[in-house]
Amino acid sequence: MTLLQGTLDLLILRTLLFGSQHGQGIAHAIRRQSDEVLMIDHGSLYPALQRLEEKGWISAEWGTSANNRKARFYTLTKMGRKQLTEETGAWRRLVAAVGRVLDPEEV
Amino acid sequence: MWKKRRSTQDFSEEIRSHLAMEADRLRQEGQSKEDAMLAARRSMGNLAAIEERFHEANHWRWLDQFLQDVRVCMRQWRKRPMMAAVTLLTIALGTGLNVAIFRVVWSALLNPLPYANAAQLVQIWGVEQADGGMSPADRRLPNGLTVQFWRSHSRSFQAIGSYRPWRTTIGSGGDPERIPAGAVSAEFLPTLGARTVLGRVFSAEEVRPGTDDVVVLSYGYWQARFGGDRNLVGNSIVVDGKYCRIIGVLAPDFRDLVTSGVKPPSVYLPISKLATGPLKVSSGFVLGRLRNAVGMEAARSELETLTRQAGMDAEGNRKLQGVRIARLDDEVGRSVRPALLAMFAGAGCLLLIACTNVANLLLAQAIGRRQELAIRAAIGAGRMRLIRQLLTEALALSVAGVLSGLCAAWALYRAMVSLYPGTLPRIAEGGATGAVLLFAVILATLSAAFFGVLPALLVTRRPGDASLRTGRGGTVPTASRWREGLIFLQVATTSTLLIGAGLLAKSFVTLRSIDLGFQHDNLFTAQVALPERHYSADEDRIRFARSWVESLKRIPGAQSAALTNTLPLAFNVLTEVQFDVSGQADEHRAGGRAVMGDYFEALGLRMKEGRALTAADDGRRDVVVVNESFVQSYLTSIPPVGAVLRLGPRPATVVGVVRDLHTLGLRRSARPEIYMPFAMLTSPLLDVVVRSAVPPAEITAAARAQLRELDPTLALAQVSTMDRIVDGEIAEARFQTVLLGLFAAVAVLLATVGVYGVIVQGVRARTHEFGIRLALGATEARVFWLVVKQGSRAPLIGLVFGLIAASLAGRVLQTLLFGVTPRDPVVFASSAALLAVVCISSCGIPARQACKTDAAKALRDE
Repeated sequence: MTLLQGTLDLLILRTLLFGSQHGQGIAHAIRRQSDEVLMIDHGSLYPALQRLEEKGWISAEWGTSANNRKARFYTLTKMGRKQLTEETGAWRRLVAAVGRVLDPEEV
Repeated sequence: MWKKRRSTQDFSEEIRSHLAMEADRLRQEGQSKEDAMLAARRSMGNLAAIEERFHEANHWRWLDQFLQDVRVCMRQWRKRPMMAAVTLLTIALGTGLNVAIFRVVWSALLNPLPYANAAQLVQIWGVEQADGGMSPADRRLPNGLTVQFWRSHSRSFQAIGSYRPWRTTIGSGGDPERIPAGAVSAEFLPTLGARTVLGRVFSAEEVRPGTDDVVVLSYGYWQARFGGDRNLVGNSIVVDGKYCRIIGVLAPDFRDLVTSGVKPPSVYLPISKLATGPLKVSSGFVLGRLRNAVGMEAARSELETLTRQAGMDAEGNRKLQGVRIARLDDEVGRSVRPALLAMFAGAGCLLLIACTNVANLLLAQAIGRRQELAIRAAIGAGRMRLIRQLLTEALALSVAGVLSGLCAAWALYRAMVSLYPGTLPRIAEGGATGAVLLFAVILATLSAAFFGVLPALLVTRRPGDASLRTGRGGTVPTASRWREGLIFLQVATTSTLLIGAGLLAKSFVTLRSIDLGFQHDNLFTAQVALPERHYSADEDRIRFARSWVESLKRIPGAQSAALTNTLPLAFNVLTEVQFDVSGQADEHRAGGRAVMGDYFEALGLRMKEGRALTAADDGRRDVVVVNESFVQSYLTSIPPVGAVLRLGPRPATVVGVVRDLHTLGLRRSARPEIYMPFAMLTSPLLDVVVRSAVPPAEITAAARAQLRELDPTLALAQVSTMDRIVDGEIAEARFQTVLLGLFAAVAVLLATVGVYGVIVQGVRARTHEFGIRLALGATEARVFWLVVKQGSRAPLIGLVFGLIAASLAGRVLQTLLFGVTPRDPVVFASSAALLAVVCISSCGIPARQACKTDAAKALRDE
């Protein structure tokens, strides 16, 4: 399943809420948590990370991974945390609105 | 905030670590080492593309891409050097010409005058009719009394100065010389802000008769003639035979753009000297400096009211009815403005035509590169990226073109200034570099936009998957219409330019074919000015004139020699004489020409009836010859030969009628004139003519020697030949005609190439269609006419619009034209015919190609 434009940023921020993580870890986490539904195109993951880093929502540092590989770890910044709250709210409203349109009775 | 950007290596490292970790994970899930690596790579997609996307996020990428685009562009040029060279040359010539002419226009017309608050400076003229315009024929010089009245009563002006360009003889004994001078009032130099390095300028007392034997030197003349002697002030020099005290030397930075005739004055003298001088000149040009916040119209009406109040007509001058005021900066460039603007417009047209060709060329090139562009789009270039690439190429082209154009401009400017036959005001001042460079930058940008934007937009409109499939250039649906639009524009501009050049050419031919009424070959001319001090009496002047003519006749090789107060086409002060026809009451005025020696024979004047004045008439005071205009104006009722005129006290008989000459200039018709022996009308200015086949230089040397023997204080000035004077009359017209003719020729050439190129491309793109037509039975003639008809449509519509534009714009040329109206039907018709033939015939070759299409081959190729 392909992602809606802009949702990848939200998912990355959400994943980083639990602590710093490297790119591969983020992709893996999203896939696992979505029960293998959302397959992250790694080609777009890194530009997204790049973008978020430039906006100052995440920061990056080289570190060592669990199995002892050098990796670049991303951490949510204060600004990123605020952004996550905002975007989560926005996303919920969007889903609810789309849901009401698709199944009017249920709500 | 400035953050150090990540390097590409850092990014690549991150990707590598990602791949390694992904492979680790897959191996944990039980895959083999190789499979895990491959799977990891697969999940990542195109590594290069990712890295490129990272790279593009870099701020400097536009520079990278720009350099990349420039490299691509260079490759294109190397691949097709001929085309690149032709394009560059086209742009270089087009812009070079414009930059060169702009530099002239800037220096002569636009550059602010080198005076403080120059906007306050105005030139004041009188007119004889209250509704009179500003044309040179209507303008009159106010006389000294009027100016004095204005000066003492006007509230609109800070200062009113009068001046008159003059020539004066400096020195006595060894080598007297005649130099340009400025006769000025006390206000004149201060009004222009002139400062002195030594001494001072004129005081009010020094500009009155009796106390006015003083002069001020220009810095250049002080340096050249007196070696910059700092003790000079207070000494006297001989000016027109009289000792005059030097009271000051002007500062080197003072530029006199106002008094300048051909050259700026070397020396200034009080204008009062002219009124007491031999010519009794009492009028002058008037320069005013407005008070702050006084408008031109307010000042003008104030002076007009004052003039009427005063009701002055002190010296029998024709009375002024109105006053006209013009900004000084408009006046300084007035004489050359129409010609320069016409040249500028012509050069602009030429550049437009050249740019149209380049646009067509680039469009064709871009269409040919659709496959390349389609591939670039397919592997990820956005439309903006492609547009940028094409625009960069256009910009690179125009920058290279304008840079080479600047070199061309330098040479063209030099050539133009040195070949320009008239005087270009203020051309030596320089200081135009900034404006010229700015103009060049604007030109480069505009032309790049003109020929770059269209191809860029058209070709990138739809990502060309179709061209990928066919592997050929294919066509762009709207491109042909745009190309027709360009052709339309090009032909319209060309026809306007061609008509302009045609009008000038016809005017020039008319001017040249004017019968001057005298033979101007082998005529040596020069002038001598007799100073008032020794030659105030008529007898002295007559005695000198007689011996002067005698000694000129003795020059070896001289066939005839004569002198007069003013030669045809040479602009001295024309003498007006009052007369009445015996038996009639009215008093009239006519131009007086005093002659001595065989004047009629020397100039080869043709008589209509009666006889000419000869050397035998020299002493007489009772015979005159009149011209045809005179007869038409005043002697219609009686037979002219034998009529008696009363000039002053004594009557004189008309012994002959001479044919009219264009004495005032080729463009001006003759006016009534009376020729009389020098004894009847003496003059302190003596123009001599010597008819001789001997080279003028030898005559000059001989004449100088003769003059020195007669009177060593006199200088031989304005040495020339009549041929040169006549040539000077048509030289400017010839220059304009040749220049615009060249422009038009190049324009027609460019337009031909343009039309031809577009039609060839159209035919090439439709080979398939023509193949089918021919296969289905169309005759060759049909296909031929189809191409000609469709190909010539745009140019012919352009031609019609060009004719309309030319008929509207022709008025711009009005002042340059002679004997031709701006809508001359012959010029319009012949220009239109020429262009139509050129356009239609440039369809011919491609049309022939079209009908030779091999139907089978065209269909097979598909």
